[in-house]
Order: sequence, then C-alpha cells, then structure tokens
Amino acid sequence: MSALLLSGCGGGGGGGSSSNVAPTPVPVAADYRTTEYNTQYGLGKINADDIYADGYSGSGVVVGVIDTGVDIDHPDLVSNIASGGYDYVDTDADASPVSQGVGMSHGTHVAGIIAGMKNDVGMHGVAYSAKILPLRAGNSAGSFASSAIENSIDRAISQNAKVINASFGGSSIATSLADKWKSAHTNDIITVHAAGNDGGANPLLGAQLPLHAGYTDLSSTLVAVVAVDSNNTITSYSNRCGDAKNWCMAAPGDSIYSTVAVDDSNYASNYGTMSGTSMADPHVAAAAAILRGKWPSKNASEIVTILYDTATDLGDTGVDAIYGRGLLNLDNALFAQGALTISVASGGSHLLGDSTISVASTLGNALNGSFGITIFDRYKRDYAYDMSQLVRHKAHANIENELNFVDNSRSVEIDDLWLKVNQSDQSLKLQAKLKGFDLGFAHNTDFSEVEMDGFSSQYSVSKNAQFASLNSGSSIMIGRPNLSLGLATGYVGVDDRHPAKKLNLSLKTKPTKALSMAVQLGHIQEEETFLANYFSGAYKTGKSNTNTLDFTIKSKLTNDAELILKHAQGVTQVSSLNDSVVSNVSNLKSQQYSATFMNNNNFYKDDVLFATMKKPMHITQGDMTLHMANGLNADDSVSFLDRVVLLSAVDLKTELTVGYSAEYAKDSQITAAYNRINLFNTDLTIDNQFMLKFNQKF
Amino acid sequence: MNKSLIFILLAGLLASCDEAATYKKQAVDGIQYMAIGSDGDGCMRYQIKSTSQMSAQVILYKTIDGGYTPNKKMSLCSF
Repeated sequence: MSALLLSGCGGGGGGGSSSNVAPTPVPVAADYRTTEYNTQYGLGKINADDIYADGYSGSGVVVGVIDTGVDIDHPDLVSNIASGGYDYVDTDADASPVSQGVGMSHGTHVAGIIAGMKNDVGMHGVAYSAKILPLRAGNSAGSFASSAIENSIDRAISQNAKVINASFGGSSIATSLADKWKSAHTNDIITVHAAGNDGGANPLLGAQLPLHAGYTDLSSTLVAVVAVDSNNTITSYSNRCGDAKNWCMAAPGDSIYSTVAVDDSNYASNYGTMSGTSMADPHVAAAAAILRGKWPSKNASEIVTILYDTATDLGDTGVDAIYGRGLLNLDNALFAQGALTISVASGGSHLLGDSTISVASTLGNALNGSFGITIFDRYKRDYAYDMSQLVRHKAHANIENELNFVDNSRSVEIDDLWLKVNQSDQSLKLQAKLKGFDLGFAHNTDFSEVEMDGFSSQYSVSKNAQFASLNSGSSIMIGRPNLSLGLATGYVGVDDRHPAKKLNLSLKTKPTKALSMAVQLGHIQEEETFLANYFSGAYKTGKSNTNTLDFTIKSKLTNDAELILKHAQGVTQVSSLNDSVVSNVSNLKSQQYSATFMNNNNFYKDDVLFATMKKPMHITQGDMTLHMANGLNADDSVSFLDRVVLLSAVDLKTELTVGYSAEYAKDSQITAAYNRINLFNTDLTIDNQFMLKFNQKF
Repeated sequence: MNKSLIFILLAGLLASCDEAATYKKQAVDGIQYMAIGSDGDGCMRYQIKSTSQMSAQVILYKTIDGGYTPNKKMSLCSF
C-alpha cells in the first residue's frame, strides 16, 4: 500500500484579543547614542549604551567627589548635586571652586564624567542618574591638604556615599589619611584612586595602600585606575598598575570632554577637554555607582569583584602589570554572568536551563501569558526573566495524525484469535477469546479507548478523547463482551518520556439495535507529570493521581448514518515538592467532549462523509501557587512572594474536522479533509489545514 | 612680522625643546610643575607636584604667559 499525501496549512484567523493601543517601543542601545553621548567618547569605550537601554544609570547612589570643588550651579550638573557637600578648604558649606587656577575646574570636570545630566545639552555622565556629593579638599592650584581629604572622607561616610572618587595623589601619605581610607573600607565604600601621571611602573602611594601592613584588606574595595587613550592603549603619562595590578584597572582618560566651571578663564564655554588619570578614575567610580544602584544589597567588595571579572583584558593575557584587570566594560559588568539559576524557598536553587514547563493540550494556553520571574547569576544578582520562555508546547498534531488513518496496520483473525500489527507506530494488539472471556495484550497502544461494535475503525476522529494517552508502553485487558478490565503502563508528556500507569473498568451496553453506550471508569497515576504536563527543575511537581469517567454513545440514525457522542471528565490531585517553586496545586478538574457524524453511501457505494466537532481535553478549573523569588532583601537574602496562576485553558476554541472519502478506482481510495484546530503555542491562533490523500493497494 | 608673533614662535620653540628637562619647576604656593613628555603634537605636558601635599592628576600645558592650563586649546602650542 502506498499513500500520496498533500497537506497545507493556512494562517489562522480569529482567536485572541486585539487592541488599538500601540505597544511602547522597547529601548535599544542605539537610542542612547545621542550627540551628548558621542561627545564624551569614553562612554562608548566602556559600552555604556547597552546598560542605559536596560534602564541602569546609577539612580539612588551618592558618589563623593573629593576634589577642587564642583560648580554646583552648572546647568549640566545642578540637578545631580546631592545635599550635604562641604568646602574643607574655605570651611564653608559651598563646595564650588572659588578662584581661578589650573585646578579650578578639575572637580567640576570629574563630576561631569560621573554624573553630568542627560538633557541633550553638552555631554552626560556615565552614571547620569547618580548624585554627586561635592567635597572640596583641593584648592584651585590643584593641591590637596591631607586634613581636608580626611574630613571629606568622614563626610562622605556620614552622607551615605557608596563610592568615593579620588582623582589626586602624591608620593607620600599621612598615616591619619591612610586610616581614613581604611575607615571608608570599613564603612563599605568603594574608593577609586587615580594611578597618577608620572608614566611610572607603579601607581601613586594612595593607590598602593593595600601593599602596606595594616591596610591589605583595602585591596577588596580600593581600585586604582590607569588611563588609556581612544585606542585603548595605555597613555605615555599614566602610571602603570605595577605592584597594585590585582586591584587596578584601565579606563579612558585622554582628551575627555566634560563640564568645567562656568567662570573658569581656562575655558571659553561650560565644557572642555582634560586628560589624565584624574579623568579615567571617575569612569570607574561611576560604573561602581551604577552597579551599586542596581544591586544595593551587594557590598563594596562584591561590586569591585564584578568590575574586575567583567573587564576587557588588555595587554598580556590575564592580570598584568600595565592594565591590571583590564579595561572597564560596563555592559559586561551589568550582564548576567555564569550559570543562571532559579531559587526556591527551601534554600536551594535550580539551573535555569534545567527548568522547563512542557505543556500538553490539557493546559492549553493557560501559561501563555507573559509574567516575570527572578533568576540569579553567579554573583547572586537578580534579573527579571519572562517565565513564558520556559514553556514548551507539544507540536500540535497535524491533520494526518488528527485523523489517524490506520493505513499501515495488518490484522489477522483465526477463529477466536485476533492479531493486529501497525508498522508505522510499531504497535501490536493481540486479542483472544477463551472460555467466554476476552483477553488482550497490547504494546505501544492500549485498550483504554472504548471500542464499540459498529464504530468505524477507519477514522479515529475522536482521538485524544481518553485521558493521558499512553505511548511506548504495554497493556493487558481481560473481560466479558460487555465488561472489561484493563491495566496499562506507558509514558506520557510532550516528549513521551514520563512513566504513568492506568487502570480502566469499561462497561458496554446495547439497549437497542441502533444504540450502543459505554461507560469507563479510570485511574491514572503519573510519576512526574500531571495530565501529561511536565514541569522540571525549579518547577518540578510530584506524583499525580487522576480519576476519570468517560461516556460514549453511538446512535445509528439510519442504515448509513451514525452519530457518536463522547464526554470525559476527571479530577486530578498533584503533590508538590519541597525544593520547587510550585508550592501547591489545587485539585484540577478537566473535561473533553466531541460529536462525530458519519454518513456512508452518499454519492458512491461505501463513500463516507464525516464531521467532528471537538473540545480537546483541557483543564476547566484549578490553579497552582508559585512561591517565587522576586528580588533581594537589604541583607542580600532572596525575597519570595506567592503568585497564584490559573491553570484552566483560556478561551479554548472548538476544533472542527470535515471530510469525504471514496473509492477512486479498484483498490484505491481518495480522501479530502479540512481541519481547524487550536495552536496553543501561538496563543489562541486558529490553524486551518487541508489534506488530500490517495491510497493504492498493490 | 610683529613682535607678538615672534614672541609666540620663540615661546613655542622653547616649549617643544625642553623634553630633556625632567623637572620644569615654577614656585607658585609651593606647587611645582613636572614636565612629563610631549604629546603626539609635540606639545609638552606637565603634572602638578607638591612635596608636602597631594595633587590633582590632570595633564597641564603651558600658556603663552608662562602659566599652565588643563585646556590644550588655550595653551601655547595651540597658537
């Protein structure tokens, strides 16, 4: 026998809801490459645009800028100045520079690199939503008194600064100042130090502090910064990381465009260019601010580690004496690193890649809605994730499978022994009558679907009427003609891999010649699925038990016409597991029904017209509770919330199949069918299929 | 050629020829300016130094009047 099959699928219509409201465009990195972004080339060098598109820019974080004063009224800074600044040179509350000099705009320039406002004017800072705490410790000549720096550190601590920028340095450092830097470390502040502009092999002393006894702990929160040019090459004047290489990294520092004091005679406008490790330093300080704003529960050491681990390697492979940890890479620093996990309340976690939700038709489109879950990276940083990306749908049966033509089977009947073999699915069914009993054995198929006298064996248009159709298993059946008991073991699920057992008791009756009825009671036990839905990893569920009741009525309307009605319903109990996000599943009610009409001898002898309307097996009532992570608490522990998710298939449409089959010539048959089905994986899309089939026996 | 222009040219010549000097010192409130080599345009760069205090780590350039500025466009070598 051969078969020629032509089928086609039409794009669906109907289904789903529509809205005239245009969706809000999702920001992309290119949206942030504005004129003011491009004016400060350092932003592009550290890949800042990507993180802006993700919504991160340092909001809520105060950066202490210990410098020569910040022009707090500068139009590109004024909104990003934190209260509480101080001038420790002139000892007053106005931290703006007060006199002309080479250092007059130094602090204003540094502040602009960190948090210049994003307002389509001039330029903007790396962390344009952060706040600058201006602390004036240097005079307009660019000289910093140790006592002023020490007072500034104290104030930064008291004003809750999370990062301190120190674009200054020297060849000596007072013990009292070193102790203040240690105090900043103790208070969980990241301190970022310019390596210095001597072109030497090692950074200035402040950046080398962790090399000295009593200050080694500072290596986890103190960052030394060397300056690279626009080609990512170390500048000739920048000190190298040298002995401080393990807490040192590189950032753009040559010819950086930023804000300058409005009345600085060195500049003709409110903006200008400066070079030096002083300019590289604030790039790193701002990056640290962005990370601290995004993950406030992370301590200074953790944030610094992330900056190091995600830097772009420059120079010799790995940590080296020139570039240290490498070039600041802000995009990479914000990007999730390592294996991604889903946390569960029991304290464990599951790999995101191991956590899938394989949805059978019973769940339909219930989980198609998009809702967020929280996942974590190797640094236990929380990221929003769309749970619908974990959902896998079984490819919907195409029309050939839906109609289930039994073309490839062979059957042999000898006296009371009946054997049927199907090549295509490698199934075998053996039945025998022995002393008035029906005995059966089946492999890769089962006896669970009620088979009734007169029911057409050619079309199983009500396929899937039974609960949890088993595959690749075996079943046995014993019974009388009107009463049978069946036991089956097999596999269910989208991938037919999950073990299940089924027990059926079937009662058939034929009260009149034209009417047949059957009732089937069933019990299904699934090891790791429920109604063939498989939740794995973080969403894993335990055993499920389903009790089912099926009715089948077949009525012979005329000699040629018959009507078959089916209805099945069930109740499922699902056990939950301790280490799962699914903390509870309510009792699930489910049902399926179909009506099939078949008429023979319409235009030719033995031709068949058939039509079926079917509501597929689906959950009608029930929900599950997800005890899911939703972020990090202030103490860096994972916070959880409960979310109830309805499991009833939403707005499930009725499926329709109509067709006609007739003998084309001797030993050949032609069939045409139209099928309209739901496609759950595209959210209520209706798919239209048409099939033309030709069979020829040889 | 006027006197100003001659002066500018001479000053520029001097500024580009002092690479050999490790230190170019100018006493202004105890601040010193260390020459740290020329940039790609041949313009000498300076770093603020202080024996007693820390200093801003910004590159300076000489101005036409013998002072210093962080703004290269205002420096002697831009004339």
